[in-house]
Amino acid sequence: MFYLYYFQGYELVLIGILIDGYYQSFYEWPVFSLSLLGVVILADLIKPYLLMYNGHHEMV
Amino acid sequence: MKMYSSIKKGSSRLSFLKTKLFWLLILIGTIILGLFFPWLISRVSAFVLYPFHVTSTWVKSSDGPLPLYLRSRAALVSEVEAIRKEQASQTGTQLSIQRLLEENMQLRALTKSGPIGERLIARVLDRPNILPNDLLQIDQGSSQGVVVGAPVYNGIDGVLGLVVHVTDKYSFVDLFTSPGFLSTAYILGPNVFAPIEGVGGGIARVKLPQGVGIRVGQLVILPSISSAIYGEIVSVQNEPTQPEQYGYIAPSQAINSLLYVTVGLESILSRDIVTFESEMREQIRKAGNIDFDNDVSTSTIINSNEANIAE
Repeated sequence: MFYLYYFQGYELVLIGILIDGYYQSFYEWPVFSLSLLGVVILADLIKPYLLMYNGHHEMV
Repeated sequence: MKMYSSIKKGSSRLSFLKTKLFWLLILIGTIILGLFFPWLISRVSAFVLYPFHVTSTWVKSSDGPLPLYLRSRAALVSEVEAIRKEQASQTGTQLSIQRLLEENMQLRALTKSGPIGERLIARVLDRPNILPNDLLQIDQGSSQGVVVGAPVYNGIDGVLGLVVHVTDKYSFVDLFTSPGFLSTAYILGPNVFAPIEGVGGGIARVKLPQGVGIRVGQLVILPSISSAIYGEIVSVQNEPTQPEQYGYIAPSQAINSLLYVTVGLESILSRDIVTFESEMREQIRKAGNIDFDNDVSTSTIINSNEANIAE
């Protein structure tokens, strides 16, 4: 979650797709890729609620 | 002071969202493409992850020093885990045996049954700190039925030693901890026979080859008498450079605190091979009327006896 707080995390989904492809999970369901995609989208949705604003109304 | 334009900020945010949506769609499209064409994703993955695949194969099957080290280390770690599990189960088994033995002793004491009726009760007259060489003097002698070689017990199960000298009124007991005492013991736990020898000072030791797992707390019993216990191993001397290891045994109760002991009525001394052979020769002579010289070996006697039976 720390990583997804500071980065977008799309590269994690890409790695998940490669790993699923290496283990031939696409012949059934690429559970690893779909899980990582879900985690990235979820982190993207909750990120605005975790941000803070300073006295100059600047997002940090 | 730096001024920000709200139009520029909104435009930048929109562009950021567009970029994010673009990459998300790319990734989702790749996954959907992989579901329709799994062989394509597999080939691309195999190409991209080829270094990983080569490294993995090298570690798993190469004969190089580093892969060998990694594989042997993994094998040793798994072996250590297996040995730990086995040791834990053995400890449990040994604890169960000890618990059953203690329970058996308690039940025998409650019912007042068992081999106690086949013994004499004797009072200790002199103790090892008075008599030399770990001898015990008891107030029962041959007039009461004590014979040389009879085992002497502390309580029901604890073996103290053997009677070595008998007079009419008293006897001397050679403790199994006396220097020079030699016998055979059976160790519960590793379940092995081992020679036991007295060291003196209330301590005896069993001698075993390296590799036999003896530990502190294992019971050492006298195999010729059921449920007769010498004591438990209180210390283990194991030096890896030596071919043998020693387990030191102490009786369950201090010898100096003994006041009453029980004495078995039958000798448990085993006959030596010379006596056994002479008795066997005598029996064969009586059975088959065979006349042979004294230097004929036992196998010759048996062979000639078999030949007589065949005729």
